[in-house]
Amino acid sequence: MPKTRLLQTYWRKTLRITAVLVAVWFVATFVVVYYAADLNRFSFLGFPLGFFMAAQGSLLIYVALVWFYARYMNRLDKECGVAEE
Amino acid sequence: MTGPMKKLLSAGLGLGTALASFGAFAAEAGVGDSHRTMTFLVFAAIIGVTLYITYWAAKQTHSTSEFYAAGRSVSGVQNGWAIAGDYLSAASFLGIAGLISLYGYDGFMYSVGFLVAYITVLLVIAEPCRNIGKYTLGDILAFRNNPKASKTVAALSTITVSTFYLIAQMVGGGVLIKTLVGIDYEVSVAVVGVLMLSYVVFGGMKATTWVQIVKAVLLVAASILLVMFVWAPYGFSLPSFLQGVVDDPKVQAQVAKVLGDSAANMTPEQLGQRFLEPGLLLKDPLDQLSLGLALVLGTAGLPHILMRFFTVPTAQEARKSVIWAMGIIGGFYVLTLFLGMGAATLVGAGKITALDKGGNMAAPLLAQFVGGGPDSMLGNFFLAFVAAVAFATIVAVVAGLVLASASAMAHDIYVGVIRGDHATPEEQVRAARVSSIIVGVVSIILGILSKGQNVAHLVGLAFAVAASSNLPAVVLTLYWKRCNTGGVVAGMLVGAITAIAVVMVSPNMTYPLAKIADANKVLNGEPAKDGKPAKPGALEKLTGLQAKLATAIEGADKEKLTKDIAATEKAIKGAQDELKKFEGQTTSIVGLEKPLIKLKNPGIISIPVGFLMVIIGSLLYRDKRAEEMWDELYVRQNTGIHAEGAVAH
Repeated sequence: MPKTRLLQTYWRKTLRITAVLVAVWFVATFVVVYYAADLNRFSFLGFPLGFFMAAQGSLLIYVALVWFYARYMNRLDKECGVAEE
Repeated sequence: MTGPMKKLLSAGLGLGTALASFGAFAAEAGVGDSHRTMTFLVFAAIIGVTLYITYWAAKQTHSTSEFYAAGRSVSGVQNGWAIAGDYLSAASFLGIAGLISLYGYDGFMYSVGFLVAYITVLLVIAEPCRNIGKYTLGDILAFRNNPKASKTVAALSTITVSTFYLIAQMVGGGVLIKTLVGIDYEVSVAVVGVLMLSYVVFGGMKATTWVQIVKAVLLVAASILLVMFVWAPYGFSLPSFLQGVVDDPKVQAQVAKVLGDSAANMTPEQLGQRFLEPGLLLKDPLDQLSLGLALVLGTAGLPHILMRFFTVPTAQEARKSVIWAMGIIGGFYVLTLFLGMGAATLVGAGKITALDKGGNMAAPLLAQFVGGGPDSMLGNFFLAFVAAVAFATIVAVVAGLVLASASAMAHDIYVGVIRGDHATPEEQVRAARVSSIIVGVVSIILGILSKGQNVAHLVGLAFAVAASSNLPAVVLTLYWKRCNTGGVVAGMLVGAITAIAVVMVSPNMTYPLAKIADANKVLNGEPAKDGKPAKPGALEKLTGLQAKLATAIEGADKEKLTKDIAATEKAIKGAQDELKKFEGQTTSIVGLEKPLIKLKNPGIISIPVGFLMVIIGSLLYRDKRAEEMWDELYVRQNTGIHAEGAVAH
């Protein structure tokens, strides 16, 4: 593939993964907080679910998001030949 | 310092009060001489370690890249710890545990809010900035825009943000050391200043990075230690710990107190359960949204946080550092759950708020409690340790801030604008060191002049300016093809000025008429209004109490009455002092009798203004270079090709 095509693919994929992750981030933050009292009717690891999400769940999701993003981007760098040595 | 500046500093609530009340706390907790010695030893150990790091780093710091970016030799893991060290300020250490101890669920909203910010930092800002930047915010903006103009505004904004933040940290640090080690406030501020200056001037970014790493490790270690003590009685089981919180009478009493009348028909079980649901703290949604916006977007625009990404050698390491930072900060906030809930059950909201209304004393009180209380050796040692960690926290954050300001002055203004980028490496490093000394000395002076002032809202203002000025300029430079110098200059200036101006007309300022009215209400009471019965004033109450004391027979009654009289006299004295303080004054420093707006946090107004001004400014201005550089930027920001990497020196 010519270099410019490759870079276009790279840019498109970067934007797509960013959009997907921002969507997950939005749900894990705002939607969950908004419905916290309703979620508390369910229980998770002995916690009321809504409370768990604020105390630990959303934090874990953030860390997972960042980890996934880094892994995805590192692979994409290699595929498109722009990885730094 | 002029009167207006002092008044500006005196407004608001938060960290300043947090640390000031830490002082009051230590005094009330009966800190004796033996405790002082122990505190002194713990502090000395931490200072010794950091100075040794500085000595070691200084031997390796010669070039510009070494001074500003630790020679880009910091690994992802190290940078992750350093970011955590940079980001976890005393407010997040003392403040969040306190909020959780008082308000349960809503307290977490702050920690989640802080961490949410990092997602925006990573996904939109960090990586492209690292790929096109060199040492400063100015470098990022100068890539496409006119270098001199954009570096000047970027430096102005960096210095404004960092100075607001610096003053708050210096004042807090001064109060903390004054109380715990027993030296004067002025000397304490000077100690913080000189320490931080020696890290930055001699060791540059390398020493600053390692001081931040040490501080982050200490902070996490201290928290784990306390959590062990809190959690062990529950056999390290989450459900039983949580059930313990719900069943705790102190927690139930606190919820009933916060809810007021609406809690009348709730069972104790329901009250405890309510602690785990939202709605106890966040009452004005618009103001909260405004604060949240500034926190989330401001983090991405804080110069000292952005700078950290220039210290790693590759994009891969930059990503790794964010994973580590997220993991550490997230883990720390999970620990605050136990700290806050532990303080709520073991110490109780009553004792915590008695020392500080904002709840900032929760963690130190908890430390003293689990160690065996105020009279025990271990209790005092834990208290000293928590104090030392808070101190290390302040010095590390301050060092990062000074480095950011100094690089804006030396790299952007002196080398970039005045010398037109023609300076030898030796001259550049010298300029960086001289700038650090200037920034450091100015911050020591401002810290001493702000003695006794409430500086807390300056932290909020720093975030608001960063979000309204730096962020719009950076984001649009990176992602909008049409963005140019006109927009960047207009957006950064107007964004920053709007944030500051909104605060100047907000309820954060001191309004003498309102203060006088409040004091009069305390003294003379309030007439009946809207169906509410009239409230007697303190003066009337005092006469009543004295009359009762004269006729009281029982010893217990007498004791209670004497106590009430003392409290009432204290309230009268406070109100009279206020009246004297504001006598003859009618307006705030900008000439207002009352606030123009209800909003305390400017973000929701100033952030859109910042973005709008970048767009309008760009559309009104034509800049060929900015358009030509878009294609180059497009390649570079996403790939890091040509990024100032390990090859640069």
